[in-house]
Amino acid sequence: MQPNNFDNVLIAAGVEVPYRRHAEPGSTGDLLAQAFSAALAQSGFAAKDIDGLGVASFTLTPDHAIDLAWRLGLSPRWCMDDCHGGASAINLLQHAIRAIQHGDANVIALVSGDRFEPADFKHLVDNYNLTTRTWLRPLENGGPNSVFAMLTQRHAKRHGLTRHDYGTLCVAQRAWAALNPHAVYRTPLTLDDYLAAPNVADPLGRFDCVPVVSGANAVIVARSDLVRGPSNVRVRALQCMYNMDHQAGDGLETSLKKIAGNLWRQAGVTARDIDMVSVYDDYPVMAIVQLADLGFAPDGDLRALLSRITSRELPVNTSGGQLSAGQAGAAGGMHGLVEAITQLRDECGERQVKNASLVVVSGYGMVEYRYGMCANAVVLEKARGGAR
Amino acid sequence: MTLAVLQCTQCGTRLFPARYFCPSCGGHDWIERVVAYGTVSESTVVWHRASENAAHAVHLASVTTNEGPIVIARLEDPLQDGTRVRLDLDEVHRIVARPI
Repeated sequence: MQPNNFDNVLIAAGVEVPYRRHAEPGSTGDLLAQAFSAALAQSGFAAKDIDGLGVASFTLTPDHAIDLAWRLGLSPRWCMDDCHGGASAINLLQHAIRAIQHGDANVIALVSGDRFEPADFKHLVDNYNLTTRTWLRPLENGGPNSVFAMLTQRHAKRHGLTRHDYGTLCVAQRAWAALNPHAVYRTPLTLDDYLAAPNVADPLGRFDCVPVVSGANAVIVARSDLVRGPSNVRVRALQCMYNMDHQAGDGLETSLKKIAGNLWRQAGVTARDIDMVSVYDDYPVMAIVQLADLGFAPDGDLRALLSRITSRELPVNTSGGQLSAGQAGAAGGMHGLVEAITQLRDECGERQVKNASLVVVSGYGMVEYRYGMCANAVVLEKARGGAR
Repeated sequence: MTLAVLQCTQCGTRLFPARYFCPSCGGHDWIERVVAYGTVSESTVVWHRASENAAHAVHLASVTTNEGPIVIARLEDPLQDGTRVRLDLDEVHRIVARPI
């Protein structure tokens, strides 16, 4: 058995094609190609150096990863499609690292993104999977808001939280978004604005639900002796677990709760050592659940956790998160990863977390029936030294 | 139509919706158990849906069935948590919960 390490691999780029509330003319493939170009430029690699491609997208259809590889002029030795929604980026990263360590590829581009017209999004939420199409679509549930509304009620009841508490997370993330020129929503948000917003699905209001946007992200993963740039990122730990409870629980814990012990052991650090966190924030309740599952509320005091987030003692979702920066479909899973990479590269401008050297990123997603099936997490650190 | 959940003939695990293999024991033979009633665990009103500007309000609930599994059901009118309901599958394949 191979040692379960992450040696000899570096993340050499992490980029975002600016998200747009209203899609510009073009296709999903156009956005993914832009992300690919930007990632090449940041990494210093040329297209001919790329011998692996991983793709996550809901709207690339009828094309797949191999069609995109052809359009990008690539002859990959390793090529994969990924359909894990908000868990796709870390899932792809898991496979890419092993492919490189075992010689199946040397430099892999991972791209994700979606371009939505309103009808595209409705088609996606109505046909998300067979369970949704069979059991939820006939109810006119209108996508995942309704099930997360009920999940939020369960969570509020169990932990004694109110709308006010969930709102503090949205307000804190919007304050970060004000410092991110690429966030779709940057206007400061007050708790009163949050509480006064129109209801979407009780108790969720407009600011509890991610704005759907069009956009793309990309990451380059490379054999460490091949990297060209001075600023790279090392993986210290990565864990995935899917279908922890087969949708028979209450959704108030994700599989992060089960994998957190192995994650921190593998990384050789604890949650207390972390400088910045990206958690998958499709709804504020899920961001809070993931933070707790990862060990950021060791005493179970979620209000104390929220106040550490508001004060920025614990920098969480510094791009503004998807709640302010937008959710570009399958790119949503890569958005937080790219933000964490950008923090480690010291390229976050006004929102840069000082001396950020160790971060954790989580992914969550793919609602089968009542909540997400997938969760995963990766611990990243700034690589010392750089290209040789 | 009545609503049924699935019970693994090997270990008795009850699930909804149906699976090929039992996540508890790996069994793959199932019997249907008709749901007699359920209890509303939580409910919500959906006011806005994707790409609909003036959507009509839809009442939905998580209903814990007497057989164990929790289903998402449509309500005709708002119901309090804890309300006991009958569950039927209507002609457009909606699980509908009505107070008993």
